Amino acid sequence: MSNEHVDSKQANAHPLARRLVALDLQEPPEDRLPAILQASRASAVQSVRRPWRVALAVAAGLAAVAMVLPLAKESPAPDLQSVGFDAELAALVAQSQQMEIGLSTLRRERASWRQLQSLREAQPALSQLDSEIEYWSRVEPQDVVTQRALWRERIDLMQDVAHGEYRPALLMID
Amino acid sequence: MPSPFAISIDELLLHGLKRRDGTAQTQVYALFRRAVYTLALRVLGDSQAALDALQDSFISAYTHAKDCREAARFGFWLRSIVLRRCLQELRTQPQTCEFAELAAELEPSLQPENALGLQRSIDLERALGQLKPRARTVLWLYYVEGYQHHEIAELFGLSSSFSKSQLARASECVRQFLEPDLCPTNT
Repeated sequence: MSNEHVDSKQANAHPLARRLVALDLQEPPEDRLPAILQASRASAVQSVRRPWRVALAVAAGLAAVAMVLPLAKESPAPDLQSVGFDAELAALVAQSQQMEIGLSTLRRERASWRQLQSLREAQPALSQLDSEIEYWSRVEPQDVVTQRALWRERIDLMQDVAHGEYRPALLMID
Repeated sequence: MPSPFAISIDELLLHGLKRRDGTAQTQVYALFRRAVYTLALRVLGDSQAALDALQDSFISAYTHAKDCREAARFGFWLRSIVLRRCLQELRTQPQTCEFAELAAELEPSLQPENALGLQRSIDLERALGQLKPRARTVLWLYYVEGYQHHEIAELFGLSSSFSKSQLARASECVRQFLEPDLCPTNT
């Protein structure tokens, strides 16, 4: 592509071009850098999915979680080996996994239209949460406060789905 | 006149981008945010849409930084990402402003008969904003970014004739409101 030349013959030759190129560059009215960096991190996380179940299995005192692992294949987990044992976080993980079992059952059994609709609409939010959980467990494993909050959010979301009450944020405004 | 994207970055900075280093990403954002936003604004004609394009473009550039092989050409590589994103947006936008109706849609003070006495106060950016998006894009790419007709045609997936005709009509339309300042005979 020859469009990479920096001196435009047109700009030198045409008065209108001179006026156009003389226009000031515009400053973005708001700083989007934080959102960009966050999205870039999330993208990086998604491309490098860790074998989290191995890390989870070796965490001491998590027998309850280990029991539900085979059924909860897609959910993420914190790197508990790195953070050490955090009872509250472990309990939240276990609760979330139990909820996920319930949702898996929903798919198989007779679920109401509202439940299935909720389940379908919640998938993007659930994926986003899983990415964030995976990111924090990998990059900031010591920050158990954030990880607890994310797991609580995940539990709340799944409870809404189970009750057929999950709606994307835009619909909730109505 | 150099393109606003004609900014060189060094290999170290590009390497940082490829490693998804936050500091490198911040530096590149600081270097190119105005160029990216300005191009998006000229093409899309809407500040909110331009901001979204800016965000998407930087995310795309950071995600695919490994595909940029030469640090010296990073700016132009980024520009191609911005353009693709903007043109994609244009394809989904309804074409609300017919080019032929431009004059009627402008305020009376911008009508050609009044333009002569008001030429110094006419806002070129405003005139640009009144152009149909595709015509404005062609005008901007040709005169400011230095694209050739065949390159513009390739971007739009159309023939060079499309680029030439759009440029001619857009130039003429803008000049109607800016003469005699922009008349070649008066310069």
